[in-house]
Amino acid sequence: MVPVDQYLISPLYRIIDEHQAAAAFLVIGALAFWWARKASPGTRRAHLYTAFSQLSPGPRTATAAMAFSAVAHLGLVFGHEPNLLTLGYLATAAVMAYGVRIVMTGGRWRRWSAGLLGGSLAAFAIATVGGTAPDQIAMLTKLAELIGLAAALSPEPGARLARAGTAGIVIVTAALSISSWAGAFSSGGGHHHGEVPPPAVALPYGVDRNPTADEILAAAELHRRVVEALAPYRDPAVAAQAGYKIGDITTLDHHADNPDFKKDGRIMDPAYPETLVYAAGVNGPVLVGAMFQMDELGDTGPAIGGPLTVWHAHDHVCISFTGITGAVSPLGACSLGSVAIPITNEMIHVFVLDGAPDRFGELSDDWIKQAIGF
Amino acid sequence: MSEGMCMTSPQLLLRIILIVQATLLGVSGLESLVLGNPLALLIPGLATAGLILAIRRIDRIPTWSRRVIRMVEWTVLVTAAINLLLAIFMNQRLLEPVVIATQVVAPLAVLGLLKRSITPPVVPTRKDLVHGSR
Repeated sequence: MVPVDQYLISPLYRIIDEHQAAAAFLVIGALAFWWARKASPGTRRAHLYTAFSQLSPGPRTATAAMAFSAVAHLGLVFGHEPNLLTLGYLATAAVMAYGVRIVMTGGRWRRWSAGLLGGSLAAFAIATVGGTAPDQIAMLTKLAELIGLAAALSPEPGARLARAGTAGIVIVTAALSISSWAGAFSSGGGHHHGEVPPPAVALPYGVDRNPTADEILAAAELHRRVVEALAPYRDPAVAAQAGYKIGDITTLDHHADNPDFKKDGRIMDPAYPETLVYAAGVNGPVLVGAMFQMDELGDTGPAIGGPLTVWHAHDHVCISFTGITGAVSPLGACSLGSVAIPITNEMIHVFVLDGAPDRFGELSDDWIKQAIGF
Repeated sequence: MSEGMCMTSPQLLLRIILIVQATLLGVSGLESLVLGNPLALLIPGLATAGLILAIRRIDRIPTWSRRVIRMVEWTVLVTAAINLLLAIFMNQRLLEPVVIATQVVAPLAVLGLLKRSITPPVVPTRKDLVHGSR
């Protein structure tokens, strides 16, 4: 098992089970295209391929995009339980196939392609902004539709609305990227994913249960020990003397690493946290908590407090020489100059600010601001 | 005849892919700003600006524009190769389909289309020289 498969990650970076049939359909579709290309002259298959290849580049690109979308949506029908949504997939597949026919028979290709592909992209944007997290098949299909739409919007040389067409492509591309992020960060709640982690957060698979009385006590004891051990580090100068790379604290979750404590064989030792977390307060830095890390990739952290102390890793993280630059985008890219780290070691935060609503999980910026009197 | 018959094929496709690619480069660079890492915007910003300038000259594709496009595409390809090596080294799944499409297929397509877009200089043949005055 590869390390990332130990975790539940965002659908953005995988093909969900319901979409495996669509992936298979796309592979079969590619093979069918190759089969038509190899057909003997005079056959119906050869006629279809010839008709396609004789199209000029604009309509050919739009036709390919609509055919891709039709095949993918047809595959989605077979991957889901029959309901209103699958009817929608079937209808999309049918209208895309109709669009292919219209363009290949010399119809108004720009109007048809722009209408159908633009409509499908708009429906996707509505679904994602509404809380559906996209997966790889969804993004691949939308990418194909985007290229087809760009061909339809791409202006003739010297056309009157040339700039409008180019602006349209830019706007649709940016909107697709932003709406996909919105869906990915909505943590599921869509039609089939259930609750899923946001992009770049990898959670271990586990049973959703309440902590036992022993686990509650163990978590409280761990928290008490960490609060006690971190007390001297309220002063960043003391932390710097202990080897923490403090740097400029300008954010609400500034992480200061101590390279000496990494890979030192001590696992979740309150006296040796690998990282301290500070917030930039009005009157100077405020110690928010610590972050403990496992020494090796794929090692599982000790869940001392059961479901109260769930460790996590980060997947698809983009880094460059300037530090972390984000997560791999829905359309597959880190910002240029950054590389993608597939998975990190496991880690857990322990927050020491009084009254933290989640002492081992995540604190919102709003809560931190309120707590430090920002 | 359909509406797009008079377009030159490699240049049209090149233009489409470059516009989408330039937008994606710009958007992914802006994402770094959200994380408070403005320095990371430098390379995608330069690449986006370079592609925009190249797109504006796509009909002629001067030498500088070819160089800019090739530089950006090779940077994307080399980054994808590093990502692939990292995935192999860390015993992870290889590149996802969308990554393959945008980080491998798209730059390779651009480089191929760029090659086809450049009209070779007309070199007179021996036949032209002999019969050219007719």
